Amino acid sequence: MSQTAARGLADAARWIGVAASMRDYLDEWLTVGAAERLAPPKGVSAAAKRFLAYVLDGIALSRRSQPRRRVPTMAGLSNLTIAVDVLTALPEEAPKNLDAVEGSVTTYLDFLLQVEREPGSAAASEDVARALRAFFEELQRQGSLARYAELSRGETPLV
Amino acid sequence: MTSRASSRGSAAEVGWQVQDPSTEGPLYQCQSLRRHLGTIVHPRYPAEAARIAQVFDLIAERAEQQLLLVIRSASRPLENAKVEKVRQISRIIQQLYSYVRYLQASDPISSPPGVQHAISDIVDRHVPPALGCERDEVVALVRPQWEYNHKFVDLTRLLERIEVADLDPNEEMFGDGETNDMASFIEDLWGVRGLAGKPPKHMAVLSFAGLNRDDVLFYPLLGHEIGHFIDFAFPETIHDNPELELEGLYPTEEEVSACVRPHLDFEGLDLFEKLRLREVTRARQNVVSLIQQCLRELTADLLAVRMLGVSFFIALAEHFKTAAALDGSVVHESTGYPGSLFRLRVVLAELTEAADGASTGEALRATFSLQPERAAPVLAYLSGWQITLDERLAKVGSPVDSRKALANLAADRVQRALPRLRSLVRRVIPRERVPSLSDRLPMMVSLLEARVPPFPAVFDGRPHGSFAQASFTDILTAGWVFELGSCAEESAAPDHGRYQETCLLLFKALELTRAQGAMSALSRKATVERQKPRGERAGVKSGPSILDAQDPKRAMSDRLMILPYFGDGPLQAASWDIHLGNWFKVAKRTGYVSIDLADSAQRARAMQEGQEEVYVRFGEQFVLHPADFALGVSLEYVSIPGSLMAFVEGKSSLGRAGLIIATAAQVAPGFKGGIVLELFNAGTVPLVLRPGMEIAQLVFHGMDADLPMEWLYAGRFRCQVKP
Repeated sequence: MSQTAARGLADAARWIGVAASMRDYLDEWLTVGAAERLAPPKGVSAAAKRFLAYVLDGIALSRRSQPRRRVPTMAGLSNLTIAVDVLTALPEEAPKNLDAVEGSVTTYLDFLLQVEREPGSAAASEDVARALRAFFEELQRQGSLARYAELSRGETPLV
Repeated sequence: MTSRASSRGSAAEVGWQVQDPSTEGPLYQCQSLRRHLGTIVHPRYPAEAARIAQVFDLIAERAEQQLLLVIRSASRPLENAKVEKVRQISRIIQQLYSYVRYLQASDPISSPPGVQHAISDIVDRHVPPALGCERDEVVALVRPQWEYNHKFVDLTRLLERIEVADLDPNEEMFGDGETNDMASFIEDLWGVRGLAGKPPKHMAVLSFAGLNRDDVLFYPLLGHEIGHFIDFAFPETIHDNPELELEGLYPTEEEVSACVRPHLDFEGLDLFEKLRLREVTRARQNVVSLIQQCLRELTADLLAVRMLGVSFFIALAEHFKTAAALDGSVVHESTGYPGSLFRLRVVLAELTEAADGASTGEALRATFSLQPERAAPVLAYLSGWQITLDERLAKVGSPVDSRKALANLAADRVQRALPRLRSLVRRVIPRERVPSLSDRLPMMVSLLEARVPPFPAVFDGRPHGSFAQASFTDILTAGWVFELGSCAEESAAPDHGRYQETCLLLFKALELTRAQGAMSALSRKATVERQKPRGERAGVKSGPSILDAQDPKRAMSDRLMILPYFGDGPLQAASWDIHLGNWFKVAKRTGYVSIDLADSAQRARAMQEGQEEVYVRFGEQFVLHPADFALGVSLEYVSIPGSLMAFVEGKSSLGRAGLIIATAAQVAPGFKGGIVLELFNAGTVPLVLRPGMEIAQLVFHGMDADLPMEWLYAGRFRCQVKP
């Protein structure tokens, strides 16, 4: 039997580096004054937006709504699963349905776009920044758990 | 008083060495990885491995640079993001390390160059036209599988799993983080290093356990892996193509929820409401995963049977028969793999349905119209399977596993999508690229029957400068047609040695197909037509009578066959020149004090343990040092009839340089195989030998009378193709 993996399939471990960088960035953003705030590193920010966009694509696919972006089906679904796991684990009230997930993710995405364009903008809410920081902190934690689980499984069946 | 804790210091005082990941360790691994990759760019390995190694090295170099940045710039302890960066880069290096062994396993001893060539040919024939790309943009490397199975490792997609942001956090290299386009990132790195041309866009490793065991009849299973390669090389893949979604392929959240709700007993409880969403999301990912896994396998099967035809179906059916109990489910509930019977039915339907004019049954009848008895066993085999599949799948009733709601759902969606999937596959490999059965097939089967490699050039008269093409598909189809025919005849007393011999003959035919370029050069060198009278004479055979012995008008059992055939060039007044092949055996250092030549078991063990195979490509050299001994083999495969015998003699020009080529020089009547040369350097300076060079000559003697069958050579070196 040939062993293949679905294109776009991801687990939380993929996003550890991005989540850690975003968490550090948001820590800094929340600590300094508005005038000193910087834009996030370009590559990291693009990756974070890509992750959130995959999640939205997974939601669109779940509703079979058209049009959706053409990304591999499993990229949308697996990243949606990651996001739901992360949001569920946060101490705040967890989303009860995909509409709630979509609402949170859209807010995060808008925030990232805002701080990329204008890091010190008053429009960028500190509450959203704190929520997003918690989101990335949890994503990093779950990624580390996934990585450790992979290590403990030994040789991955894909290689 | 000092408490135990305070004697060790607080966590903060312990220091960064305990908390921070080592940067020196990953850096060492990275440098070691690059050294290993450097060894792959060597003529011993196929060009495909070298291309892949170049790409890996670009990524490894970038990873090394990123690590050095952390080492040089960061204060200790490392901040959170730097710690994770080091870990992510370590993971990338370790991942690349795991792929290096694939490249190393592509060496000619593990992966026969003939097979690598044949697979590259099939890839060249089908992949660039299907994808609309250049030939050098696709690289498929063959290596043996560790288990008796076959496997596809999609290196391009595995590299895509590396997050580009980990290697390029500030988008210094590549400014399109929107797509995480690893291919474009690699292209940028390729350009920065100033490498010529473009990097390959699609890279994969295809593997099969039988490769290093010469289990050639099962090589068509590699077609399934090429199928995966084609499927995954499309930007959207074939199995995840949007056209399949028109069938409502993937269930919605509500559909999955309806499936799993009966199994969730915390419905309505607020505390578990958030878990409900999580469970449904996971269940949905699982069911889509089952659907995709099943469609991936079916896509690869359909592509393989379009590329390789009947040989793929027979190899797959025989593989399943030995691998596991035949399974009638559409989707396996835990793995998502289609059941073996369902797969065979899908493949057989593609083979036998004439929907796009590619019916194999009709083609077999037409190809073997003059020898219908050759086609009959294959047709009987196919119709036998048709009956078995109808019966067994009918017994399953509903062809889905009714125990698991999700597997049922997945099976239903796969069945719905299958007609559209077939149509997509037929568009990727249209009728004009489906190989038709060669009109040489009956001749190739006859050659196999005569225990000669099915390499049709032997029949092509005087093909100076060119050799007839024998494709992988032709050779393997001939192999299975012959085997099924033989099994039908010998059902009462199966001949176990025959299968092994057939594999060796097919192996030699694949090698000769690969060597066509080198052989054409040799043939051009030997274009002098000799217009000499021909005729039989007793005793040592003269040049003309050697030619007569090869006359295609003679019956195969009475014909001297030497292939590849280089025209009359090798013909001497009383001998036939033969050329050096690619395979050698050299002595290893062992703990043997001596070998008792009278003890055949010990002798055989010493030969097994005390020698190792070496493969030398055309254009490369093998150096035989003074007093050194090695075994070589002729490029030519020789079939000697019962009316002849031969002696292997050295070439005087080589002998004068100190080369002794044979110490066991007699070739018995009825012998079939490569001529093994016991090479010894009796001189004082090293001798350079090159595959393709004239190395020895065969001197033929006529027997008093044709020997009866039982006197013909049938020893253990029959059909040998390696020393």
